[in-house]
Amino acid sequence: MNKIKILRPGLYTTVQDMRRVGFKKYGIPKSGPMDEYSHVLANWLVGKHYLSETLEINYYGPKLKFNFDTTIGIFGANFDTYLNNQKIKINKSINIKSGDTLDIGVCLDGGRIYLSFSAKMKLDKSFNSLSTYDKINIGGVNGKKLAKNDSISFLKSEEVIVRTIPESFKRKYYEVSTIRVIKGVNYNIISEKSIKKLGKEFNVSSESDRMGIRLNGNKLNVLDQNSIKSTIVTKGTVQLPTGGDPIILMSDSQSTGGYPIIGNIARVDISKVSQIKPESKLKFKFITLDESESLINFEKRKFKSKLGINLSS
Amino acid sequence: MIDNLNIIPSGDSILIIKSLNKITSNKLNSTVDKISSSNISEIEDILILKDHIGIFYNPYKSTYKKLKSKINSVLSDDSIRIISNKKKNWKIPICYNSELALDIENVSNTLKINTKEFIKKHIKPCYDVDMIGFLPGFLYLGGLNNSLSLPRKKVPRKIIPKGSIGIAENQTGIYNIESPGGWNIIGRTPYELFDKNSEPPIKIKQGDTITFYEVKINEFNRIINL
Repeated sequence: MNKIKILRPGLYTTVQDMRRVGFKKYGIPKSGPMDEYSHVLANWLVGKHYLSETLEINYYGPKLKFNFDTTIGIFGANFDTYLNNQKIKINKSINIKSGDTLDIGVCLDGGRIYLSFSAKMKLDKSFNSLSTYDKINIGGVNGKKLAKNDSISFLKSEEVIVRTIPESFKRKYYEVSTIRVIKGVNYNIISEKSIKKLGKEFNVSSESDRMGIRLNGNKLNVLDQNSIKSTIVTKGTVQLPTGGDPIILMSDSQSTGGYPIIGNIARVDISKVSQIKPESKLKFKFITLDESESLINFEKRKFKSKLGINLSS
Repeated sequence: MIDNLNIIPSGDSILIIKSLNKITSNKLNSTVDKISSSNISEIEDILILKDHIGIFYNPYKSTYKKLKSKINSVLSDDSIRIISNKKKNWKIPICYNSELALDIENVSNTLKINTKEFIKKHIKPCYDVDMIGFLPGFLYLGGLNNSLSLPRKKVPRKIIPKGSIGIAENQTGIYNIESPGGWNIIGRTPYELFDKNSEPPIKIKQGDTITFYEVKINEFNRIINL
């Protein structure tokens, strides 16, 4: 049986794909990779469909042993990564021989990296997806983050031509990230003083998780909290709870919320938000819906023309 | 089909349909049935809230304006066959024993009624399933007797057991998985209404109705051990 064995699980390593769509009506979130951009590119490195499963690795990575020949792709933030104790670069596909050990260590910038395999994981789907959602223990391995001595079985490896991520797709992660955002449905009830503060820096809290990224250090308030009615929310929705510290909802977020919605992160920038490490800074830049759609269109064309990936398939 | 419908965006991946007039949940339901029946591929999910509809869509497959005009033409097309689900009434056992109903005594005190009166008032209505969400399988039920309305607890509980039935504001709700939460817990059902291993994981649908019947602790334990 083709297998990887988990010698060290890392801080929080889970299986994620982008296929849990259509279950919000039962209260089940989409889950999926926090950074879809890097997930898609990791899958490209091994020639798999962009929705396919990868391992999402957070801040401190796993150590894995392979008992079969395969090809892997690693893409995302920079992690100190070794193959059989030799330091390796993360932006290309890598051929693996049976017996090899991959050690993805500490994160050097950003926060997340995605590991793809040319072989399919042999795991049970839950709600059409392999995504781990540990609140109700579905997807992944036993519905949980990876643990020491877990193993994942794989189907047969496909032959893959080694690829390298083109320079124009690589990202740099800075101490201060500027994130584009569209005005939210409750933008009009933000107090005048808070509107001015919206352009200033926020700190990213270490209490962030797959449900949401919490901001602090720049409190905001709304004029009339009581006028807010529950409405639907999604990944990228910026909520303002009563305490005044905004939350950016992420992959495992609930689908409805009663807090004021001050903004919605432009779709193409959500992946950047997911890579801002705790205690780094974030600044908002407001754009229109039309501008956000142009950015999506630009990204679509770039993926299509340079990599042959159809993001609307 | 419905006059004065207003479609507005919320970010680049959500579209909200509101009515300028007062709208009944039946009308919201039939609007959603019509949109669902037309199988628009960029729509990922549709939720019905108190007075509006929320649509999640994939912005890589459509722009807001294109989707809005598609929806408008679907809603004005009378030839679309609406696949509408029959609304069901569910009879759900509830146990008000204070071992399970963690807040029933406090709640009765706050409302200045005795527990018996509380139970009488809580068990009487036929509740509407307003929404499913917030947590997997969480049921928001409308139709709570106004005199039983009270705010969420100031400090949420870290663990609320599966099956717990709570009150917050003017709704009663059922926690179908164990989770943290701030509702005042006034009862528990022995039924497992949410099953992550089946699809759909919950058979009760938004728009259905629920009536409770009381079971004592012995009966609760008997059902839970079945």
